[in-house]
Amino acid sequence: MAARHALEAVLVDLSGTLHIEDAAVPGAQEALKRLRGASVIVRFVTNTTKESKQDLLQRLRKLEFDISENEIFTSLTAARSLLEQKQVRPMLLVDDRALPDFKGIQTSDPNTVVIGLAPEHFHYQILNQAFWLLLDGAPLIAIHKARYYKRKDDLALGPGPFVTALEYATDTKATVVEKPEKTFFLEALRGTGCEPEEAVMIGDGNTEHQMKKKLIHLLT
Amino acid sequence: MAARRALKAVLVDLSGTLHIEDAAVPGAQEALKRLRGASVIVRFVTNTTKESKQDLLERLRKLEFDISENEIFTSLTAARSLLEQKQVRPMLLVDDRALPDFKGIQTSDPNAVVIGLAPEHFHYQILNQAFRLLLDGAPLIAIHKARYYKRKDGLALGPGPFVTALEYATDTKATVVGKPEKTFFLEALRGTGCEPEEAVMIGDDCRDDVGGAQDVGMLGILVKTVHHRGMKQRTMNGSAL
Repeated sequence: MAARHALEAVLVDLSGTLHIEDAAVPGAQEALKRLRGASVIVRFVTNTTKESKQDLLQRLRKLEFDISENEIFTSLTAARSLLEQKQVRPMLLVDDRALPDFKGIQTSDPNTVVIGLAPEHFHYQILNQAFWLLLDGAPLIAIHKARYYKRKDDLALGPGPFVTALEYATDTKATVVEKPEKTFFLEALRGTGCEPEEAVMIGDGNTEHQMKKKLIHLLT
Repeated sequence: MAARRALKAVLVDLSGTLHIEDAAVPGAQEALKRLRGASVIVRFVTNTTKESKQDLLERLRKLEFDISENEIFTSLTAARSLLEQKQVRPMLLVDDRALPDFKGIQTSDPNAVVIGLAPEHFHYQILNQAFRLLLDGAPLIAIHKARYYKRKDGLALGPGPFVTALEYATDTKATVVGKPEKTFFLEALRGTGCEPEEAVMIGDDCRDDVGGAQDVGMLGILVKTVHHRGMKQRTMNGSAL
């Protein structure tokens, strides 16, 4: 096995690792303090389609975690990062609560389609508009492709079916940006200036099964 | 090769074979008269998602074809046939103009989902209702899975993407009933009492008509009709919808 580079960046999963619902994982606050003592760049990563960084920040500060907004990296951040990198203008089919994370990105005269969990946008007319953009060569970016999600009383269609619908209609494939897609981790590290070989991901049991891309070391 | 049995049933494609748009194919009316003279059962078959049998009948009679309603078999008829066979009650996501072909089928308390070209039904709330029926084990029946169709203002999403959406959501596969699916030909023959080996399909589309028929064991006869450019695309053209 190739010699490891020095550790320069640490990605820490949020839900299940740092906190569970509205309670901090026992020992997590202390562990974070120790991590701060080491000279590494820390990023807090999570999948979400409707919590903006502000929402997450508030929740974590309530749990007395010392975190700043630019240390948070979500699937929405990954999408934004990709948009900036490709220099495209998105048609944003995302929850209103996710819009703050796209502030500053031009959305008029779109040439890309971004799909998150947004039932209010999943009707024929809007999907057809997205279809036209895709026919013109616009890339399709999916925050994730969940088949369904839990509502209070039942299961409801997730964004996955609608992403698949557009993929089928245009015979193309969406770029999915959430964990555990490669795009997520590469975009998370892009802001740190670190290579994957210099980074470690800390996650709970679920995440461990998902780690298979360029990350080398895993602490649980 | 096994000896073919005597010919007992003839399936005749409509668009491109018997007529093109609103004009009869030259020689078709005489050919049909001769066919009537032979002792075979005749069925006129076509894919459609919004023309009821009545609509088709009127068009063909205007072109002076001697045809009765029960000789017409469309992809809507195939769907109905399948519903009756499975004894299920459908949630019908089809064009209003297709509803007459489902008359008499119970639709309250549905336990099956039928999807045709019906943009007015393709929105989240209704698709979610269909999703929940499928989760409960309801079968998903698709009239066809065209990716898109031509509208005046450009291309528009067909039923295919929405069928695919529900297939993905529930990890199941729809039964597609239009040509060239086997279901179509088998259901068309079901009413004739003839076996595929005793039947022949006459059509102008190599894949949808002849290919599909041969796949179930029928003989296929390809007629060569002059097509305008674009009518031979794999996607559904206007007349077939």
